[in-house]
Amino acid sequence: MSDGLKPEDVTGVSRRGWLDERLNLAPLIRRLLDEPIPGGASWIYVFGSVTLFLFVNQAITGMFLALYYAPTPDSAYASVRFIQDAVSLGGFVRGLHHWGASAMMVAIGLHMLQTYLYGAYKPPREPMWTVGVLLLLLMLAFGFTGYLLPWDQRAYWATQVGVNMLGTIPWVGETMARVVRGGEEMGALTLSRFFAVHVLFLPAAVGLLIALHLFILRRVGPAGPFDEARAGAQREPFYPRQVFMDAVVILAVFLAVAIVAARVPSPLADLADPSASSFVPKPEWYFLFFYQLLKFVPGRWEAFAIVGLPVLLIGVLFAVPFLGRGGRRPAQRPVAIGAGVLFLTVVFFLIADSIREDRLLAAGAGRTDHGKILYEQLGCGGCHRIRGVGRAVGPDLSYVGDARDRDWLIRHFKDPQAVVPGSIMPAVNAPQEDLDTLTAYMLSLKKGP
Amino acid sequence: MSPEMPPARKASDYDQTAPPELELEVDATEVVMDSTGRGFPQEEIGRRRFFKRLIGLIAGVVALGWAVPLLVYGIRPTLRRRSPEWLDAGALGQLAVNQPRELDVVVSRRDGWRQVTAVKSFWAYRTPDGGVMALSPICPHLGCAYNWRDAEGRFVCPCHMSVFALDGAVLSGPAPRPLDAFDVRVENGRLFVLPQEFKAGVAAKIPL
Repeated sequence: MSDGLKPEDVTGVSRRGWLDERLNLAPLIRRLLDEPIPGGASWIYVFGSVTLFLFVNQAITGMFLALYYAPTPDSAYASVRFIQDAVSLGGFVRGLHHWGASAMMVAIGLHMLQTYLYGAYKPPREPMWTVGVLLLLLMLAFGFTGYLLPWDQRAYWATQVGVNMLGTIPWVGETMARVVRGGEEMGALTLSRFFAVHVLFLPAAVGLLIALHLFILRRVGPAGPFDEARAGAQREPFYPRQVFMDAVVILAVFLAVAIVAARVPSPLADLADPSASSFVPKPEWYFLFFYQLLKFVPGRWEAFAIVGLPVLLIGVLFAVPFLGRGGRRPAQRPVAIGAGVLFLTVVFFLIADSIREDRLLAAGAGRTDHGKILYEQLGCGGCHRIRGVGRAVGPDLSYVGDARDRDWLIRHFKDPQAVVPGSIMPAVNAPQEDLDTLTAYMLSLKKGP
Repeated sequence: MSPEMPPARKASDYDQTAPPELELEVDATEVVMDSTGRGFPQEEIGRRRFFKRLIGLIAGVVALGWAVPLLVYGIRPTLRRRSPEWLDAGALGQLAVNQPRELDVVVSRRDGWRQVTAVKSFWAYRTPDGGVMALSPICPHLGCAYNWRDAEGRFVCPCHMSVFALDGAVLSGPAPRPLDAFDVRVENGRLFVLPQEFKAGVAAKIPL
């Protein structure tokens, strides 16, 4: 034993030496950790690692949820209730998975934003961006399939709407909807295939693509700052400073998710009831902007908006690295930066609008709720559509409260043709009290306060 | 060594035949390791190309061997259409001549490996000639539920005011075809119906 070397150093070295002798690990570890970062380590580069960490969190908590979960309509809801109420720390583990999913969407958003802002998708990193977009799509598929698994009202009806949207694609839509649904109607086969896709197919695909994403990263190297001078001035290996920064943010994110998981119960509505078509479904927040957008789309554009818009958006995402030949600096990319800002503005506006609408609906509960039940009992949805639910034969009533007043509505209910000549709407034969209640509901359907 | 086997190659064989521009510095082990085929004699390149294609073919066969059955397995059952089933709608005695009544049947359908039941209704009455008429409860216009108006002696759909005669014929309104009749059968005084759904909004009666 030489001077200054403690015994544990020796054992550590000798153990490493033993494996090293056989597997030759030292150069591999050096290669993994010594990846040079142009311009040096930075807090702005942490989001990829954070996303990867959150994916690992989803994988681990998901495996443990599967210990108690049963993917059939008879037991799915009960088993999730069991996890929530009876399993030790069940609510917490489900919370880590539920809120971790949301955190992951945020991390992906920030990761993409950083990549986009820094022009890091530009040559030679186009393949990395392409794989990244594929990963984003798979993550959305994770969200969509996972949402159904608790088999509660929210899950059932949001999925119903989602799959029906798919069904509106011309020619192939109905077949696609059937394949996704596992048949004509939602049921046991829908749940079992969503489960299989969520816990087996998607993890396998995502695992492969993450490996590919990282492999490409190691082949092309990290992009570094968009300022060439800064990028060239300094190079710093990935270890230890960048790894440390990643670790600090990962710890912060883990603590944040754990605190939310411990304090905020994950949502679980009533058991799915396929006959209760009055349930107004709402998708998870990361799909909300699209859901809200559909409310602003006039009826005849709806089919395009449902299918064309997402296809267009995804197409643009894939095309991003192949558009524009300029440099990486934001100032050199006015169109790209402008389009990005516009997109984010629209998305945040739509999310805010949806939240505001929810608040309004919650505040106006009571009589309007009765009115809503009457609306359903009278079969108004056979012709009218409210926020995407119902047939678009008559006028869309999503914002009828902005357009009509009480008197007009009551007169119109009693004798539609007297108010709107030539209207095909039948008179509503109901007692005055019911008409008042129905009117209260109509008046609650507003865009804003 | 059998006569068909080519003699073992030495590195010097390749040195002689390699195109001069490649300037390969080969020793025997490097030649064996190299998968690009660079620097090999023409005959060897052909042999390697043959193996490359054969390996590709084997990979393709295995891939198809998975893909075809698995796609059929995953997709085919979802495209299966349910065949309608005869359902017991109760005693014939509950129906009067030319007096439509809404009857309920318990529909039991398969949901994957589960059997689930639901209650569905239809309109029925006895005809003067001793037969039974059973009508789908769904308006053929856009799928609303219509009603029998006793005083007027006709069916009226509240959605768009399609009016139908007792036998289902369109009297007025936008309905593109008469009400859809179900097949009926009477056995031992009990009424059996074959409920089906038909495509709404079109003139032809197309089962869904």
